[in-house]
Amino acid sequence: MVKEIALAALGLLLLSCNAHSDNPLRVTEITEIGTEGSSGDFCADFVLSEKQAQDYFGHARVVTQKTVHDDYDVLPCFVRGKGTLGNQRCEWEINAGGTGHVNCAQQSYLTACKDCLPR
Amino acid sequence: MATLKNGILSAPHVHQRIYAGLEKGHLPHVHALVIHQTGAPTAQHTFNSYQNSGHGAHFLIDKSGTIYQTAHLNRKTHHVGKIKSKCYETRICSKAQLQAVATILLQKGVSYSAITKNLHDAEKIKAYPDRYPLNEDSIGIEIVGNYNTQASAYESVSAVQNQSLQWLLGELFGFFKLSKADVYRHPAVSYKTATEASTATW
Repeated sequence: MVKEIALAALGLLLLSCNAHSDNPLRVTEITEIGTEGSSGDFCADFVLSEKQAQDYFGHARVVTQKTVHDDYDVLPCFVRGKGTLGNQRCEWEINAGGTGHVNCAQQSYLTACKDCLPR
Repeated sequence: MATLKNGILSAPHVHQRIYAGLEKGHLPHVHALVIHQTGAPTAQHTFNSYQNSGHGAHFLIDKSGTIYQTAHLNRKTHHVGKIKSKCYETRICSKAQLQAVATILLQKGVSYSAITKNLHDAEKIKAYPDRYPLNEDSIGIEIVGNYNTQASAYESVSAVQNQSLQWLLGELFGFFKLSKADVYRHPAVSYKTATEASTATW
């Protein structure tokens, strides 16, 4: 009995851990394509369609800030937009370095992917 | 008064907690100091990561202000990453330098990660202080501070942490003949989150 409860709990935990990949953010709108500071020319080619943004979130991993810090460039080029995660409304940002963040009503998280952007 | 012998900084309030996995070969010269924040809520989170990761710095300043030495000061650690162009970022490039940097930054059909690597490769052959510090000539200091994903910002460095940082910098200035001009926040040097160490003071 104890073993069955432990296995059920483990199953729930694994489902919870995979929540983002099983039910990724639904991109509904791109609201801003821009740059931090005066890096306009450097960022000129960083443009994403809604489909490309959706593909990014479909493949990116949820990561910690330490992973962002250690393994990724955070570039001045970004695309921002809106979306939904389940019933929650969210805002998101994708950085040209391959990182992203999602802010929803009840949760926020960071994402990263090395090969999920067109450039 | 601290002493420095065989890469170990000895002082009553510096605790030795060396992680061999962080050390990546000989560090022949120290030209600069780079200030980081951990992005984790406690020192223990970072110590745990040091057991499995090759990324880390030479010191860690805990929430309490306690200073831990985590790598020998005569050993290189991977704490900087790919560097930006110093003359470009500080707007002091000569015409030729500006053209060289712009040629790299504005390459078409090349991934952004390739561009930052190409820029790093072009910069690293310059002599310090004409470029930003590298892993090969700098000491890294981590300050424990969490990252708030909702606010997209690192938490503020506390007064007690800044006090410890200032003491540590003072000692390192003396041992390596450095000045405040040789201290950099990590995002100034590399492409990193802008708020990292932004509230550190010295």
